[in-house]
Amino acid sequence: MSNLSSEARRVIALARHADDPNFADQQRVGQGLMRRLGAGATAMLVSVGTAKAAAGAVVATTLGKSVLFVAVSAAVALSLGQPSSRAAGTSSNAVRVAYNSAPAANVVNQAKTSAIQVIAPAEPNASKSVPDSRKGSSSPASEVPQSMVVKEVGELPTVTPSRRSATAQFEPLPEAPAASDPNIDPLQAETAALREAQRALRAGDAASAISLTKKQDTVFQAGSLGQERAAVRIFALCAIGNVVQARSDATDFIRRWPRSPMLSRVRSACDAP
Amino acid sequence: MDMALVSAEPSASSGGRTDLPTEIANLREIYVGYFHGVWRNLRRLGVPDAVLDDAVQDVFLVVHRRYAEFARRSSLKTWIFGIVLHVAKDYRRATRRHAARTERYAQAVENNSDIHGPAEEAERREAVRLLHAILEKLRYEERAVFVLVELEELSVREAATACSLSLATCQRRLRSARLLFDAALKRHNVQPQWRRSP
Repeated sequence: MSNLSSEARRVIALARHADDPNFADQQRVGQGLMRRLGAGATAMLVSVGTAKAAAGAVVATTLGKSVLFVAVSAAVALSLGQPSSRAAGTSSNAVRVAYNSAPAANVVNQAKTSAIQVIAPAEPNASKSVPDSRKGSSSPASEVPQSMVVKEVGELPTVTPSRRSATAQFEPLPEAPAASDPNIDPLQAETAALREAQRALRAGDAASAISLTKKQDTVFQAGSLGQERAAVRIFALCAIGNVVQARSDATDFIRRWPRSPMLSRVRSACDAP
Repeated sequence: MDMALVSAEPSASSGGRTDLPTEIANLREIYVGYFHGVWRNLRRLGVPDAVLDDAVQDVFLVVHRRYAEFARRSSLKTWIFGIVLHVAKDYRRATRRHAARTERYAQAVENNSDIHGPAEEAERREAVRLLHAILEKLRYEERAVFVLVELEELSVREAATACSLSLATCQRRLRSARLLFDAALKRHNVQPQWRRSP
């Protein structure tokens, strides 16, 4: 297909992965994105404050005071990046808006400002992530139709990482639909397939994990999770005692993804526990 | 202002609002799935490292607020790369510190020098430096097609969709970019700094 010279192809092959990010990049940018989503939500809420009657929403402005909405929702609690308790720390001062029930969607709709999509209602069980101490402690909150908790800045509880529930903030990714569904996004299918291989490895069925990842490499040749599959396969090879192949694969892995967040684990994959 | 955060044509998307929780879940999935692709292609398209975080976030903010517009008119991948191309163009226009950026590439590779032998590492570092130096010489339109096809390994048809081009135009740009790339490489190869020297 490519009619580039062989020298050009060699340069590209050598340099192709130089621009890949690492895990810290993913975490840092994800946290920044969360903050921007939260800040955007606040700006929008403040701007629609005067539409209280129409929207049935909360008036967010107290004259002369800045009011922050606190949202602990599926939206803001997005685990942008791999599930990790590290990401929870820096957002403790972030602006958040609490949505905890589906009717909020109607509020949004009536307000004719789908900007509040940013803080879309959480799944029903997301309300568990809102500490009880936040509920009802602010008078405007009682006006909120099961949708929001409003607090002034000074009222915000200081949330320390230890108080946060890592599981609430970073629940595992929802199960992707089965790969056989023709309507789903290829990435979802790929993610679901990778999970299957990871599950096999965790369950002690390393041989299955190896064959699954090999099969997936073929199916998802242009996919996004080749690195993750390679890592699973290396760990599985170690698990069945094929140290030679595991080390060889690990060498290839390190060469191909030198900035991989899994680098140290891959390097020491076959080390004795 | 309000509408800036929402889909530009909310009514155009399948006649109604999307399911909000689904949309949020989508953003999360999309971020995890596409972060790497967005990041590396913004870099390849010349977004300076100093603003790379912001640019990546901008891409996902656009994804978030325009998801209703997307409506599966193209594949998610080509749709996102289309956004990447727009965001990269904006950032390039705003910030032009290419020299600093290409230096950073070399540095990033250098930081991994423990992984490779010195000779191999030197070759790789040169390749990275050269790749970005040549990409800098291409016009943005050619660079975009070249990056998507040759580096990200999209099909020409996918690249055409992402670039909002006809297939024929996309092929023409790719041909042109390949010729320019090869020509620049040949010129470079006669210079001593590309060939590894002891």
